[in-house]
Amino acid sequence: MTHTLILSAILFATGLVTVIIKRNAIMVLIGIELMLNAANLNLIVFSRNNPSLSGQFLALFVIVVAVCEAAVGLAIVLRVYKYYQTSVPDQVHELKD
Amino acid sequence: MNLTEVALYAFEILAGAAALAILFVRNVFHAALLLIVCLTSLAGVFVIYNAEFIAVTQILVYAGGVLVLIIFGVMLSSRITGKPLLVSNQYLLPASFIGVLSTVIFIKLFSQQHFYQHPGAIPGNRISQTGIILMSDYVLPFEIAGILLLIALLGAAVIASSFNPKSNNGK
Amino acid sequence: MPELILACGILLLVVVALFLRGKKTNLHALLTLAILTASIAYTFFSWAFYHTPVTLFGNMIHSDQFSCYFRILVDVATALTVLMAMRNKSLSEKFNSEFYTFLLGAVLGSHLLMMSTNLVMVFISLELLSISSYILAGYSFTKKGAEGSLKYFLFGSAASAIMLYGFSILFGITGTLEFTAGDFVNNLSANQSALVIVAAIMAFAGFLYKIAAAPMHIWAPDVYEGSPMPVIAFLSVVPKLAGIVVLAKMTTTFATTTVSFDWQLVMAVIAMLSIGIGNLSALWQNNAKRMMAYSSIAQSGFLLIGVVCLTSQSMQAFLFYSALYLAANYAVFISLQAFEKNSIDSIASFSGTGRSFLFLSVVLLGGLISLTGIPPTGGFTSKLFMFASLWASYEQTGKTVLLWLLIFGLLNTVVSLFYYLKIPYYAFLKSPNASLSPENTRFENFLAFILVVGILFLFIRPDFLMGWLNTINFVL
Repeated sequence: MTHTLILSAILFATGLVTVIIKRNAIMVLIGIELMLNAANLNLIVFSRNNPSLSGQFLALFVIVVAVCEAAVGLAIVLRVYKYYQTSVPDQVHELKD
Repeated sequence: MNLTEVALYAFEILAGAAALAILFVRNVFHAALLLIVCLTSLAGVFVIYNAEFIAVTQILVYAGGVLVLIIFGVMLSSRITGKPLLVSNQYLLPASFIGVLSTVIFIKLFSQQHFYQHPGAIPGNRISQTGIILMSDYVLPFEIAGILLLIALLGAAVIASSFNPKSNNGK
Repeated sequence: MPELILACGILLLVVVALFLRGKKTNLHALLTLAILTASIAYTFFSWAFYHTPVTLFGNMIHSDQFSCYFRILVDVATALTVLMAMRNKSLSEKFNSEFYTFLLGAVLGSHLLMMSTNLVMVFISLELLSISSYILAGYSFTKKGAEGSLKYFLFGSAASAIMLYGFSILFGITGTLEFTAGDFVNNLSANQSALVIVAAIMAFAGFLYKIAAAPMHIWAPDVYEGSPMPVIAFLSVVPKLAGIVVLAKMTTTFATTTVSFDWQLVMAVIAMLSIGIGNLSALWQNNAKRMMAYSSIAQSGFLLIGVVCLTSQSMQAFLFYSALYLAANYAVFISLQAFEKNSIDSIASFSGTGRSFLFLSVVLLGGLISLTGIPPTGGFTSKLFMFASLWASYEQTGKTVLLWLLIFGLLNTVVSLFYYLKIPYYAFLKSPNASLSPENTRFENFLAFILVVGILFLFIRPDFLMGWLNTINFVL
């Protein structure tokens, strides 16, 4: 069981690093999907012999939510593209401190 | 080492390698393809951990839906700019430090932790059990998920069809 | 259940929008108001019934007077948002009906979030609230709006992914998702390790993001600047209240189980950081919307004091503070919207508005004074209750961090005076730089006036609301 948890830790860290380093909104979205999947992996490993299947259900709803996030997120990214001709979050800086 | 274990290790290594490779590619399209590989091998891992229904959903919804969305996004946005989407990196050193540190910390904490062991096993046919529980105990989140999907669908349509070049604030 | 009314309302709005496509009408807004009124009325009349908490849907949600009170507040806030939106011209005409659909979606999400006792419900209702907010944040359909909603979305999804990873670890340790159930508490107390604390802090990240508390606050100014005024008013109240209510519930669970770790310290530090960062950054702002964004960060620090203490006295103070915060915040945003209509948005352009918009400026002053917390407004009373509960909690536990929080909060109340009174200073003491042709703001005047009268009334008679709050049974 532990080696699957190691995989989940690696996936989570990879997702986090992707979110931080990649200068593109779609890549950040990919990183977020990796983090969500790391959580899903944990949930499924932990509910392996769970008769009430609760971990699996949370994982199922996470997948549903991920779809909604991706749909709304990509629509937002596309709109930013049309205004700015870029999806690099750093080059989007109409708003400043 | 029996066949299941070999398959489990193979799926895990594939998923991990694909995820790590995402860090090193510069083309967003390649990253999306690597994500498909990663998610599909995770579906294999899910099957071995008694979650067949989630595995099928993972393939249908994630690899089928989300990835198609992402690839649409990549293609539409590179059509606007007219060149392939290449991504550069930022904050490389601090981010890799955070990444390695969090991996090490989590692995260490996971190995020390005593996790709850569920007694017994899932009775009967797991997939039909999933359906029964989904429509009884989890009926409220199920309905809310329906409303969430409706809102997301409407929202994506409103956002994507709302571009108004006049409100471009100059430029 | 009011949630059923809201859910049917969402569907009804979608269908009605099909028939009214392309027509200029206020029918959507009126329908939304009717739905919200029905929800408020239902909650109000079932108040006595929930004196003993009710568990519904196989321990998914838990309905009690505590959540009823916040459900009423959220509905009132949304009704005010609808009234603001009816008078806002910058909202796109074309997607008018969808706006109200997303608004109701966010309300439904926050209702369920405040009642949920299961991590599945927490996650899915938080996401319903978040996704509706991402869409609403971009509703001005301008360049700035697009940018604001992109930032909100990226930070928000990352925060909720981190939160989910925390949930998954907590599930692994306890074997159950019902975070108020006995199993969860027992298994956590049996396994007190560093991993529990890491997972709990990760789980908090998502809520801290929603309430814009200190380490997770960076999105707020950008999103506020790019969004239309009704949406800002909504975002600064509804997700904040919902997030803090869940935070209070989860902190209660953790505080009773992992005794070896000082949760009060963590929460107190977060509260201090939010108050400090919010106030100090607000001092340097030139744009009224950005200033209000930092102000809302500081206010969530003050609201968190209720979570720091977690006594029934502090919970009452928190309930009272929330109502006053709602009223004052909406009074300010309604008058800011009226000013924005006359293209006054940067603080310098408020020069001399005290003469041309006397009534509106006085009402704005009332709201801002209440947010600062000086008499004669209910804001003073609510801050007094908050600090009194903090002091009582300090005397009870003797933890110095609570005393520091008290001193820091009092000092920052003085600091906040400088930026809250900046707009009235320009409005009343500077001479106008250009003559304005005032637009009709009678409706806004009236609405904000009612709120300010409420604020003043609660200063004179705080027992009016407090007496009602005393009947609430605090079993979190």
